[in-house]
Amino acid sequence: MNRIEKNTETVRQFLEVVWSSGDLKLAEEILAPDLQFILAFAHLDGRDAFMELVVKNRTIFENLTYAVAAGDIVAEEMKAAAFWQMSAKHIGTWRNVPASDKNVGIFGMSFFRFNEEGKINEIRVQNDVMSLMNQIGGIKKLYDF
Amino acid sequence: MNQLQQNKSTIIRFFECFSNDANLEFEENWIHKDVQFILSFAHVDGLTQVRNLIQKERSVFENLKYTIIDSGLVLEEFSGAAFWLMTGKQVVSWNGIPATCNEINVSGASLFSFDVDGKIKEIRIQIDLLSLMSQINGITKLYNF
Repeated sequence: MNRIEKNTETVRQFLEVVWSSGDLKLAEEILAPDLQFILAFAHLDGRDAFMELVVKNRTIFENLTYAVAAGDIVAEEMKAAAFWQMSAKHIGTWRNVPASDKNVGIFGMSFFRFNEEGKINEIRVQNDVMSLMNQIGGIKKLYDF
Repeated sequence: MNQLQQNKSTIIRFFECFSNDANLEFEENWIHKDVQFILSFAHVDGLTQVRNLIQKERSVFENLKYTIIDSGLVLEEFSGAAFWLMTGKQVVSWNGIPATCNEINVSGASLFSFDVDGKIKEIRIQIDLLSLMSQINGITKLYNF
């Protein structure tokens, strides 16, 4: 397996195993300790902070599942990107929005950087928070769009 | 120019089409006539409709510009990903939301698929719609997030 193939597999494991199964042992193997996890609304500094987020989100979103299609990961030697789908049931308060007990699903894209050892040291997430907030009743649309 | 360099050039060229002064008469030698342009809130089918969408966006957002973030391009032979910032001024009604004349600044990402001839055949887009809608007063947040 060359470096690009390995990065592709690492991205798939990050989404489908770390997030979907909460496998923190694997997270320690594929994520660098100084991981930067950057969302539109938050910036987590360090692998430990990220793993706390995984644990927290998996209690808020029941059956949290990330899926990525075979052709939806693009990889180079030091960076990669993936287009993914998340599904879950919203059973706890998230960003002050109380549990809605709704089944939710959104798409998103993530950008990954790797260090020399092949571990992920930066993840930037671009996801459809608007849709998620709409599904769980966190926003009100002021116009018909 | 190898295939990766050509894909990079094609992606950059595509984003340049959104600038007000860009020529929109792009030829079918780098974008497939049946291109699919897929947003979370719209699915645009074919080159003519994509051209119409770009023209509409350019009229809605004055000085519209897409800037690919630093090293935010990831390339393979048949796919590519770009992470970008969109800036402009909303001067016309958009999705039912009246013109605000607000300057907007929104992040997003796109996944490109290329055919065997190197033409773009599909573009999937993730844009921070929550941020955009907040900036042009299209939504109300029902909770403090």
